[in-house]
Amino acid sequence: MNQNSGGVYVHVPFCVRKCSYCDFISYPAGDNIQVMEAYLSSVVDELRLRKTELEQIRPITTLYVGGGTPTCVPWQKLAPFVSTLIAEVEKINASDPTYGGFDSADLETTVEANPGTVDPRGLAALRQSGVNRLSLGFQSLDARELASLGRVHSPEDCLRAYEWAREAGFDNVSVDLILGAPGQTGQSLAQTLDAVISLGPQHLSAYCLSVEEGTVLARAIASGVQTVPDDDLVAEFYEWLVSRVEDAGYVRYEVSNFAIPGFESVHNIRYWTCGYYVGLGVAAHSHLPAGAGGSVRSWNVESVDKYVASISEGTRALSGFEERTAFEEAQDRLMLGLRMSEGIDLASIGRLYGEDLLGEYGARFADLAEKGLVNFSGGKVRLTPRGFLLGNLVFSECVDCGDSAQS
Amino acid sequence: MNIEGIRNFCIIAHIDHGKSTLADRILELTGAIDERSMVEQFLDKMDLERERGITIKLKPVRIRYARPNGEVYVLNLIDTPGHVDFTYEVSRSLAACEGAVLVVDATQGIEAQTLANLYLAVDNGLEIVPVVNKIDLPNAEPERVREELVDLLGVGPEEVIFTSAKTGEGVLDVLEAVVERIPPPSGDRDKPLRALVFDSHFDPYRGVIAHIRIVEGMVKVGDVVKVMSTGTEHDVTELGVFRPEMEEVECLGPGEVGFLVAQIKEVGDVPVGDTITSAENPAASPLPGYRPAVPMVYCGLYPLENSAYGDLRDALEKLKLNDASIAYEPETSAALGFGFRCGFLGLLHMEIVQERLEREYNLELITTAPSVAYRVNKMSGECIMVDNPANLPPVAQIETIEEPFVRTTIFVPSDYIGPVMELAVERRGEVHDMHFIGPTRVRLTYDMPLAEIIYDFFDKLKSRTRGYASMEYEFLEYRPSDLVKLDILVGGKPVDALSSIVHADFADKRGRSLVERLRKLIPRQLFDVPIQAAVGSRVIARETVKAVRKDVLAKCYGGDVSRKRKLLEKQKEGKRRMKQFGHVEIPQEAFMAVLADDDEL
Repeated sequence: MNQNSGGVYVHVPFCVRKCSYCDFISYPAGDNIQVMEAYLSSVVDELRLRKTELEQIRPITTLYVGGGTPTCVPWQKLAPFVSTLIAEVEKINASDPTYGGFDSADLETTVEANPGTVDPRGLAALRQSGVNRLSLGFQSLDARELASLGRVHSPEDCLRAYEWAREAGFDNVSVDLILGAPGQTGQSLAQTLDAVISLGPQHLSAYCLSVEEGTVLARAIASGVQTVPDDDLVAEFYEWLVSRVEDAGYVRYEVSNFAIPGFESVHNIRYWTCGYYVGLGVAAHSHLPAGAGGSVRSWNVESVDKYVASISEGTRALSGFEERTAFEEAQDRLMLGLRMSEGIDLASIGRLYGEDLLGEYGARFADLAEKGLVNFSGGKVRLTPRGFLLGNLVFSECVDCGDSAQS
Repeated sequence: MNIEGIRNFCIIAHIDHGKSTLADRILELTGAIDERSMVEQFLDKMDLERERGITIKLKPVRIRYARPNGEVYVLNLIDTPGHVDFTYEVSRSLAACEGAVLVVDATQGIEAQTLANLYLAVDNGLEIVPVVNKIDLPNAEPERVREELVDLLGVGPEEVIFTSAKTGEGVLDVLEAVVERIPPPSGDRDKPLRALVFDSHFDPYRGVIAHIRIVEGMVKVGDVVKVMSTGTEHDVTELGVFRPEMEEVECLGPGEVGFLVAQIKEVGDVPVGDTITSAENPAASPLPGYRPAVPMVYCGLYPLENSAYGDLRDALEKLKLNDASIAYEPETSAALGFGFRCGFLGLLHMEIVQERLEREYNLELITTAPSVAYRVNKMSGECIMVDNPANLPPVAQIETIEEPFVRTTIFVPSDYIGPVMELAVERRGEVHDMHFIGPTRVRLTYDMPLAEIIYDFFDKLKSRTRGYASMEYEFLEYRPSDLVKLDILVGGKPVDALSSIVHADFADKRGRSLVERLRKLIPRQLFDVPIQAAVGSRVIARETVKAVRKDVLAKCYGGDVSRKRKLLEKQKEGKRRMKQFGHVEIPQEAFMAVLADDDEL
C-alpha cells in the first residue's frame, strides 16, 4: 500500500537549546522570531513549489512535523502553520478525483512536542488546527538523567504535558524514551517505565542512545565527566523493556517502536517499507519514484539562511541526491523492512521490483538463520528475539560494500 | 674531458640535519636547475621521500660550477640516504666518490647516523669536508658543534664551514672547499675500460639503465661491453649524464659519473656493484665490489582478498626491478592464505615497501609482525634458517637456536644514561662501550639481539629520552639464545600468523600482554571466543572475547535512509577487511599486535 500513497515530512530546526547527545541540524530558538516566521512561510512556499512531486505520490495520507523542537515555535504561529499545511495537502489530494477514496479526515498528522515547551492553550490550538497525533519527547522521568542529556524539561513537566495533551483532546499520544542515558540504572528505568505505562500512551518509542562524535555528551564522556551504561547493560535494559511493555499490551512492531494495536505510526511505517515522501525544510529528506521501479532520494541544504533565500527565488534548496535503481530499491526495502517485526517477504518484494531476491539473498538469510539471527521460511524473513539487538549484522547483509553513488 | 676538472662527492648527514636543503641550494647556486622548476628536496623524487623528508634511492647529478676566479669544474653530487636501513645504498654511492661533505645540525650536534655514515666514508678513503648547518636558528651552537667535529675528525677548527642552507649563507664556501680539498679522480684513459655499476633503474622502453662511475678507460656509444661477473655482452646504445634530468653524451671517460643503456632486459644482468668492461679489450680483474645487501627483517605480506595474489606477485616483481634489496618468496598461511615472506634491510625499508605496494599498486595488504632470521641447529646436525616463526621445527628436533646480534650505537645527553641503560638491559643488551664525546653527550654501544630492536626499541628509546637519543646499528654475528615459540590460539586453534619467537624469560610476560591486546582488537562475535598464549602445550595466558549482545542502529532521523545505509555499508566494508579464521573474524591490526609494547595495556 505504501507505494500507492505518500507522506509529507516537515523539519522545524529550532530548539530552546541543543540536547547534549544531538548531532542533528538545529538552531537556537532564542529571540529570532523573525527568522522563524520567514522559515515557516518558506516551508509553505516549498510545498507549493513541489506540487508536481506531491501529486505524483497522492493521496498524501500522513503529515509529520518533526525537529528540532516544533513546539518551541510559539503556538500562535505553529497552529496556523499546521492548518495551512493540512489545507494544502487536502487540496493536492482533492485535485485528482480518482484518489477520492481517501478521506482527508483520516490524514495522520503528527507533531513532535517537547514537554518543556507546551502549555494547555497551545496544545488545544494544535489539536484544533487538525493535529491528531502528538509525540512527546520524555526521554526519561529521572531528573538526573534528563539533566545529563541536556533536556530543558523536568519529570514533572513530562507528566503535566501529558495531562494537558489529554485535556486538549489528543487520543493518540506517543512517548519517546531513551535507553542507555548517562547514569541510567535498571531501577531508574523501571521507575520511568512504570510511570509511563500508568499514563497509558497509545504508542511508545525507545531508542538506544548513540554517542555521536562532536556532541557535548561525547566530550563529557571522553573527559570522564559522564559515563553511560555499556552495550551489554543497554541490551539488558532493552530486553527488560520489551517484556515489560508487551505485558502491558503494547506490540513491538519495529526494533524501537511499540503500540497498542491500531496505533502504529503510519508515517514511520512508510520509511521502513520504502514508501514515498516529500521532505520540506532544511536538511529534510525526500524519496520519490523515478520510473522502472527506481527512485530518487534527495535532501535539502542545512542552512536556514540559504534555504529561505533559495525558496524566495522559487528554487528548491537541494543539497544532494542519489538515484536508486529498482534493485537498489529492493535492497533498501529489505534493509529497512527487516527492522519491522513482520519482517519481509522476499517473493512479494521481488515481484514488486522485478528482481529475484530469493535467488540473490536466499543463501545469506539461510546463513543468518543458522546463526540464530533471523527466522527464514517460505521466503519470509524476520528477526529472532536475539536478532532485534543485533540488527546491524542482518541489515548489513542487504547493502553493498563501500561507496554508493552520491552527488 | 680533463680529469683534473672533475670532483665526485656526496653529502652525508643525520635525518633532518639539512642534507636535502643543502643539495637544493647547490643546484640553485650553480644554475643546475632554475628557481621556477625548483621544488623542495629536488633530488628526492618519490612522493614518499618528500612526505617523510628522507632519501631512499640515491641519485647522481652533474653540475657545472664556475668558480669566482673563473675556473670551471664538473661536480658530480651523489645524494645518499641517511637512514641505517639504507647503509648499503650509502656504501655504493661512497664507492663512486672521492670526498664527502659531512653536514651536522648546529642545534643538535653529531648523531648516530652521522657517525655511522662518516665511518663508512673514512673506510672508503674519502676526503671529509665538515659543515655545521642551520647556523641561522636562534638555538644554534655552532662553536660547540665545531668542537665536536674537531675532536671527532682531528681537523683544524678553520676547516669547519658554517652554513645556513636555508638562507644560502656559506654554501659557496662549501663548493669552494669541494674543489680545493677533494682530490680529482685518478684513472688512465688508455687502460681497458673498468666502470663501477653503483645503481640501476628500470625503464620500460629502454630496459635497465645502469648508473656508472668510470674508473679507468673510455666508453662510447656503439661499443660492445661485457659485464664481468656474468660474462654477458651488450651493445651500448646510449650514454649520458644526470643534470639532474638525463642528458645524452657520446662518451664517458675516467672519473665521470653517468648512465649506460645497452638493451639489458633484467636488472640481474648487471648486478649493482659489478664491473663493466670492454668486450674487445677486457680488463684483467674487476673492481672491488661491495657485499650485497642482506635482508635483516622479514614479514609476511598477504593480499586482503585471496584473488589479488597475482597482483601482489606482479607488484613485487616490478618493485624488485628498482630495489634489488627486496627478497621475497611465496608462503602459505592457514590463517591468511597465499602470500609472500619478504625480507627487508630494516624496519623503515619494510614500511616503505608496504606503503609503495599499497599506494603505487593499489593493493590492500595484511602484514604480519616482523621477525628476524633465526639459525636453527637441529639434532640431526642439519642447520636451517627460519625467517617465519610458524616454521620453527618441533622442540624435540632442535639442539640450539642462534639469533642475529647487532652492535647498537646510541647518542644521548648524559642526563639520560640511566634510562637508556635500563632499557638496553630490558632488551637483553650487553654494554660494549661508553664514551663521552663532550661534557654532556655520551655515545653508548651495546651488543643486542636484532629481534629486540625491531620490537619497538626505537620508539621506546625516544620516549625515555624525550626524543634526544639517536641510534644506529650494524650486524655483528649470530649468537645462541634460549628462545621459544610463542603460539596464539584463537577459538582453541593456533593461528600461525600470530606466532612469534621470544626469549624464554620473556615468554610469560609477552604472552599475557599479547592476549590482552588481542582481546581488545578482535571484535565481539556471536559467541564467546577464547584467546590463549601457549609455549608448546603449556598455556600461559587466556582471555575471552565475550559474545556480542547489541549492535543495532538507532532511529532514522526524518527518513534519512541514505545516511543509515552508509553506516551499514561502512560496517560491511569493515567486516570485509577482516580475515575469516574458522568462524572468527580477525582484523588486520591483530596481526601486528605482536609488535606493540608490553607496558601499554
